Amino acid sequence: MADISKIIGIGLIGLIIIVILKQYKPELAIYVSIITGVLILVFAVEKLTGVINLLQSISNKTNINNNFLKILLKITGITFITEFAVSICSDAGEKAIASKIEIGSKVVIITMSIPIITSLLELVLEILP
Amino acid sequence: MDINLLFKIAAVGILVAVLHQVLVRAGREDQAMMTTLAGLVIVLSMVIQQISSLFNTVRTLFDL
Amino acid sequence: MYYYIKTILLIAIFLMSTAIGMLISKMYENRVKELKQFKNTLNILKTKIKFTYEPLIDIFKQISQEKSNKVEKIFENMTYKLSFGDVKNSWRDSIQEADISITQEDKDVLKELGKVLGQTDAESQVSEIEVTETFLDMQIEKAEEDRKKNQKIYKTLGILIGLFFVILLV
Repeated sequence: MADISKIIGIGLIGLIIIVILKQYKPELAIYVSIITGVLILVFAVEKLTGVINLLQSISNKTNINNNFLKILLKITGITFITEFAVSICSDAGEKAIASKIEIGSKVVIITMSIPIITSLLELVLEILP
Repeated sequence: MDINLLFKIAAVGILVAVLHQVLVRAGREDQAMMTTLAGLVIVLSMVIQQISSLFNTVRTLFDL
Repeated sequence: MYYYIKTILLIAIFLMSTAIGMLISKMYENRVKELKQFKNTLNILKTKIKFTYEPLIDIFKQISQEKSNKVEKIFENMTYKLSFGDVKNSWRDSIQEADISITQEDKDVLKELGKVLGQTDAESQVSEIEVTETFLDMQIEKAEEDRKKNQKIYKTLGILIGLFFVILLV
């Protein structure tokens, strides 16, 4: 409860500052929005540590290949950062750059997930007579 | 990494805006432009540190 | 402890920056004031040359007697220099050395007068003083304009820049 109120507080304060600052210096208002995003994200990321540890311990107990979990986590991280960058760009009114960042991140994710895809295909080939 | 940074940027922004106003009113457009630029650079340097710290945390957490 | 030192230093930075702004804005005010004083003094000088025909050194001594403002202090310095030099050099040097808010341009206008003072007859000296006075009037007008334009800005600028540094260093 304390955490969510903190995040909401940071967000609202950032919002008020941006609204005030936009009348005088719109270029500085963007920085405030970036900082608000960074603060909230860092807060959230620190909370994620427990979840990731849990996932890793579960995968250690079962017989799943540990590399797959690593790749999954990496993909999650990439989407995390990409989402941050994309939202900043679209906030600043640069929709084109935002969509390009999205495309780039999608390409990177696909190249990273190639091992998973190949192993899936192999599994299918094994099952098929 | 705390909320103070937000207030700091807001204060710098308002101050730079007032400086800009004063200098423009006095007919010194070029210096007004310089103050705006200086404020921008200062704030940018503060913001970049924070962004790099965010990226580092994400990188260590998801070991990218 | 550390916190207290930091607060005190920040307040000191703010006060100093404000004071610098005040000093600069004061300079513009002082320039107008001193130019007006110079004009008054030149008036006295003109009257004395016209009606008393006393030697310059005595006139300067009379002018500098009160020592109430900076212009009269210049004349005191001039009297001292005149006791072992010629008028031209002592006039020029004491104006150049003066610790005063007027600009180099004003000083150049004033220095022109020294070339004639004490060299020619009373008539032409008086007319030269009058010419210098018209120049001074122009300078006063210019100084007044500058003051109107810059005085308030420098005051505000000092305070704002002080605040700026304080915010950055907090």
